[in-house]
Amino acid sequence: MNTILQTWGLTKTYGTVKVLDSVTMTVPKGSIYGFVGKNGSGKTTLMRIVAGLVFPSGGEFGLYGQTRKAGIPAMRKRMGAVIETPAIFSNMTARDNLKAQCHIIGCDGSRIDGVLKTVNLSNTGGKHARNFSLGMKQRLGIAMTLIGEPDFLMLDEPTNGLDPEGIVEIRELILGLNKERGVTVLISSHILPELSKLATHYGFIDRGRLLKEVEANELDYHHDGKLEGYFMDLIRVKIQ
Amino acid sequence: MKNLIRADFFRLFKDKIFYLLIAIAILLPIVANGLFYFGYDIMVEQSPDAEALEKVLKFIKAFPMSMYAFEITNSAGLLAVVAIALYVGKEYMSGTIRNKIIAGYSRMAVYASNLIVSSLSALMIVTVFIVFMLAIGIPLQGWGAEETLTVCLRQYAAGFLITLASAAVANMIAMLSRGIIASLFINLGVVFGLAGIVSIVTMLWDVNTMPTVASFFMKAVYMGQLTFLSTDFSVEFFLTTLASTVVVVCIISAIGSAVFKRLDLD
Repeated sequence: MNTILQTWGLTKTYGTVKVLDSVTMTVPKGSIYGFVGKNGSGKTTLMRIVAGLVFPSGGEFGLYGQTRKAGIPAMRKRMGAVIETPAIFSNMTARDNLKAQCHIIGCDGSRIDGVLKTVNLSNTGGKHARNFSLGMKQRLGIAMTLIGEPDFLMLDEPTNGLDPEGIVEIRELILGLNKERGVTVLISSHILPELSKLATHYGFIDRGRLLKEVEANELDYHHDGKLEGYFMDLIRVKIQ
Repeated sequence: MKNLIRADFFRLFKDKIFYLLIAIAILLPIVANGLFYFGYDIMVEQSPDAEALEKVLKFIKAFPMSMYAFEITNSAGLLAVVAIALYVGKEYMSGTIRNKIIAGYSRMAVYASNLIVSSLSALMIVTVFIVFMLAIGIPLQGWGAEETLTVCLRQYAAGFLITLASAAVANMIAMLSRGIIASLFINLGVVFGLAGIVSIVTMLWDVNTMPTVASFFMKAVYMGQLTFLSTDFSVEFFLTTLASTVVVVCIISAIGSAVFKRLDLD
């Protein structure tokens, strides 16, 4: 199985508004898939559908090759997701947050120290998450997903609002997870130069429609790696 | 499912608001008993018809246990509803409900786990309230006439049942309102709204002479049960409470989980 996530004609409508319009995309195993699109283009909605938070209006998707609705929840146990804001308990410490997540997924607490070290939150002690910086909260959100040892991560705008140092930390974390542990990552970001430092594959989405999927090396060869220009060209072609 | 319940209890016992509500459940009996015990003489002294008031208070003092039974869910039940509204609402606020879905749990399991933990936390608050009410009340006001014991125990049991019914309603509202503020306001609105409706209906009509369906509905409405708890000591009332609690919990949870199953989450 070379594909982690695949969608076929995935559609979501809210009333008469089509937020996702027949999206067919493929996230290859071991890739860092950069999901590029403007605000409101449907990136988060697609991630929410895959995470089971929102139900599609049409089309279907497969996780690890599993396409049956009944079988997908079991597959979700192998993935992790941080969608929009990190899902953490602000009244708990980083360690207690991970303990709570351990209870949910049914793991013992032996991985907690390792995960805290991975996301560089080992020395936060008794500090509650509400007092964390944005970058620390983001890293804790990722840590919550890592405790289950996922092989697929969905990160929605993980560097949004972070300072340059925070952005570098998240980038190194993602690259480390991908290279050292073989974790496949689907990542959406507005910061295109930053995304180009990570992604091995891209999917460009606009107004709910997937415009194109390309590999990073293909983009480098034809467009000198200029992600922004390529995306704007795609939109221009679509309008014409 | 076992893991989910364990995780929910872990979260509950880490929540300061839960302990605050437990503290209020301890404080209320202290204040209520203190006011009643120390205010007794003052009330008699200042009453325009001191003789009549003294008779009433003596009567009340002869049955302190049964009097306490009235207060159980009226105050502690409200605390329990607040606890559930905040407990479930916080999960939406923090977004942590997403962690359960992404971890592969079915919507039904998430709903059921919250219902179980909400119900047990509500019972904990009510139990603390009763224990302190009795622990402080009995030394101050005595145990009461022996024949009232069975009645009182039955009323307490009815109080627990009502708590379970109100927990099911509060949990459903909190799960479907998808936010802490909405959860709290809608829950309190429903509690006071129903209390108001029941008060108006009981003022205008005799519930016992109503058609069976209307009478049953009035008694099945959980805040309605609170009103009847303080006036109806019959075995029939207890059995109606038992039956209506089962009906309320089953119907409300079935509706709640069915809607939650189809709900898009943020």
